[in-house]
Amino acid sequence: MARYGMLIDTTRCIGCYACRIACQNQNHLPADVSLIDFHEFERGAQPCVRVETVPTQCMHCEDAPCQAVCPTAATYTDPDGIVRIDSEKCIGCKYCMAACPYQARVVDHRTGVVGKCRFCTLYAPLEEGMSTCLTACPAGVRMFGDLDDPESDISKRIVETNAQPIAGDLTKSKIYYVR
Amino acid sequence: MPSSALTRRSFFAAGAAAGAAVAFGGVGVGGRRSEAFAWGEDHVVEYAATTCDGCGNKCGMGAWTQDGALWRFMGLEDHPFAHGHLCVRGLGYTAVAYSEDRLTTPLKNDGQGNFSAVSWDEAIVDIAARIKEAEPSRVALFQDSRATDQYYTQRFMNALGSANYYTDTVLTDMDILTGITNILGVFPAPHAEGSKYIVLLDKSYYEGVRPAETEEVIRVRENGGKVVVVDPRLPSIGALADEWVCVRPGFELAFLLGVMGHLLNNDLYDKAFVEANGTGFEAFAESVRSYDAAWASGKTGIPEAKIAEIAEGLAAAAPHCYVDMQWAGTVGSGYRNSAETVRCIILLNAMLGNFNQEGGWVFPLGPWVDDSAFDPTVFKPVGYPQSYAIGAGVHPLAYMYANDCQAAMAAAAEGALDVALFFGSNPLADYPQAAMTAQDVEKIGFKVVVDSFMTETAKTADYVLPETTYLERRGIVGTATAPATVATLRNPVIDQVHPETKPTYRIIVDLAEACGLGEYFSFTLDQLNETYCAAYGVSYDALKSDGLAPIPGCELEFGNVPAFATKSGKIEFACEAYATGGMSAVPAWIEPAVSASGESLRLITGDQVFQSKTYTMASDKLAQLAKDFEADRVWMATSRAAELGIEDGDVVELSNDSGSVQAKVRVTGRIHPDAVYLPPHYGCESEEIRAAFGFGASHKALVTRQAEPESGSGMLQEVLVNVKKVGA
Repeated sequence: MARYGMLIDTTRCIGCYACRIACQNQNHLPADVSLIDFHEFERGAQPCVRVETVPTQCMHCEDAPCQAVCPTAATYTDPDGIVRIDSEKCIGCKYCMAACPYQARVVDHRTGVVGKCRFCTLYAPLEEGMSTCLTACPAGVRMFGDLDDPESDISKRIVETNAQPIAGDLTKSKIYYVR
Repeated sequence: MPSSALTRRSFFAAGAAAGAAVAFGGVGVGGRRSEAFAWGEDHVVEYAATTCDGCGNKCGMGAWTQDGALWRFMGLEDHPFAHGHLCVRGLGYTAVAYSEDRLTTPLKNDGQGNFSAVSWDEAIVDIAARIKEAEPSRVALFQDSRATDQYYTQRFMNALGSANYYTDTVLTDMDILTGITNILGVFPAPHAEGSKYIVLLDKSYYEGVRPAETEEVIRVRENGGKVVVVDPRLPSIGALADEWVCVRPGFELAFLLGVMGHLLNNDLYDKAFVEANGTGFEAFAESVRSYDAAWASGKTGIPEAKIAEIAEGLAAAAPHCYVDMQWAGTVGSGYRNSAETVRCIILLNAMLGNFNQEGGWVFPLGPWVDDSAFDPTVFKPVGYPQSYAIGAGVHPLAYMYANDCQAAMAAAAEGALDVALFFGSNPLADYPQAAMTAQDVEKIGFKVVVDSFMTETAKTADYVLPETTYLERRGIVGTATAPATVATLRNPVIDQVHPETKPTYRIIVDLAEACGLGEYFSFTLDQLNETYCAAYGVSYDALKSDGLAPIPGCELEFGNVPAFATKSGKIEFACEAYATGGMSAVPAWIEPAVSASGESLRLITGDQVFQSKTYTMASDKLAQLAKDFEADRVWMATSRAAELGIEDGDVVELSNDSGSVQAKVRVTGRIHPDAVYLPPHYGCESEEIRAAFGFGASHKALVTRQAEPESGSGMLQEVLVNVKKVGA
């Protein structure tokens, strides 16, 4: 099986939020439910100011704390390494929200289900016109693929750029950042 | 409507046939049904190619619907501004179609500000009667810079015999239009792709860069090129640049003069090119030679060595380099010296010899369509009004085809307008000096607003007519000029959401018929589009299905010198029009009108990457984005904030003679210490646009209505505000 992951190159990110809106459109989310958050860092003083925008979302952790605390096993990891939610099992207890170190779990107030990114961009090659965080980005910030395949573009790029999970090996996250 | 109905299952079948399933072997389609946020199976998915309406660029947009409802959107791969992507505002503005705040029926004001629904017939008959009663010269029509269905709106005014047709050019591009028409007579566009050195000047005013430009800038740097941002505020795209050079706001002209002076004094310009293609270069050089990097450093606050370095960097990369001229930005309407700034951008590029060179400034070919393309038995010739527009002739350097909406407002204050028609235009929110504009609009005898939302201006109108959104209608064939120019067409993506709404062109036709001018509108939209298609040599059917089509014969050849349609037929390094227009025939330094000191700071503005004017705030998605990230804050430089005892998150009052507003402060190193930045999108006062209402402060409450004497440009950033901490 594959072990899917994502690379986010913040050196290309202009902080435009296009990924957030693309994700909302693709996944039929209302305006006030977003699966992607943004953290802006300003460094240096004039005239050498640099701005870094770091988009965050579900990190698809191999040691997923949200899954560990879920009392109904609504949060589970599929064989491809994607952390998923069975919305029929979710009772809306929000333990997962408390457990997630990345604050990536989001209540959908329409259903009470505590959702998150589910790597929908996996299906983009199969489906015409998918507007996802990856496909919609005008700056090509994101890359997606199989981390277990050393020949995949993402694996090569992680090596080239020494990309790292945002919190080291805290949860064995499968999103790697170039910063 | 689009005909390519596919179910999700057939999409997957198609994907598998293309081999995509092999690459993703093992991915099951089933099992997703119960997932949170899963999009369902067995839905009817349809596609339409159309154009975006988030700003005036009209990028090509692919739109997918699910069971007839809007779903997702991507830029068209072959559209030169999009290259397969939309910007965030384009992705998010689509939400307006389903807004619960849409206007759904014509409304009539009882004179006390209470609106009640009326029929279209009643509204049109009444409005037409008021138009017919009025002297044509006392009727005006206003549009915003998107100018929806301009062929119809302008033709209606011409048929009526009124020249009073206004867009907001003096608040955006007046000086650019003036500069190009007088100095070049042909329109340039940057060719970022092959560039080795790019100076992005004043990009911060219009952060909504064309999506393709983002990718191009990245490629320039990957190919070893250099990108320098020169701006009083570090814009979003600055994250991709090599460096940000923080220029004192209002002194961009000094930077340009310093660079040009350095090129002249060090023989670093393209002599052969200017000799072959320019006129008046000696007089130009004599004036500009007196400015050098040291002088410019004193004015701009940029180190002398940096100015010299940029000049030499450009010269070394020439002709594969350019200094950007940002449309819809302050370059064209910001300061007392904007007309001169634009002229210097143009002439600096000419000095670099970059015209029609890879990575330089290119001059795309557009199709030429004149009256002869229109069959006079179908499109009855309408002639032109016998009198000039209100406000015409006041500013000698004004671009002759753009009327002055600020002058129209000033005339309205004197009772010069009996009838005003506002099509998608919202002066109360978008024109300078909001309080005064509201008083002036009040003095217009009879007002009609055509919009999808109950804007501030709509609330003052006698009639409000509900407009369909861009996603529900077909448009008029247009063009996107680029090295390979394409024809574009807006196509309907969804059925009309509210049956009683109408597109602008339909409202114009109804009004024209009721005014006895129906003979000028006896053609259909299809006939108009067929006429354009024939003139461009493209297929209407192709435009309906693909949203765009390459125009034969409009592919640029690099290396050609463009035909300069100026008085001299050359690049006018010395230009008589500027001399007769009250400036010097050759560029010279002009001081900005105001200067900052202490608590009195220069108020600057500019679009945020996810908004355009105030209209995008009607999208709940874009409004929520602004709220989530507190985008309504006023920016103040770290050093200035410390000096004034202001901390990040403090609430300050910004005030001047025009008005006062309160806003939370964002202390940042991203802005010049002389300036405070307030975004122009917020402070909506119409509670009937719920997404926008009550969020943020109005920038236009603080901006003076004023004009560059020569060109009439709005000088939007020649404004001082006093900044005071609230509760201090």
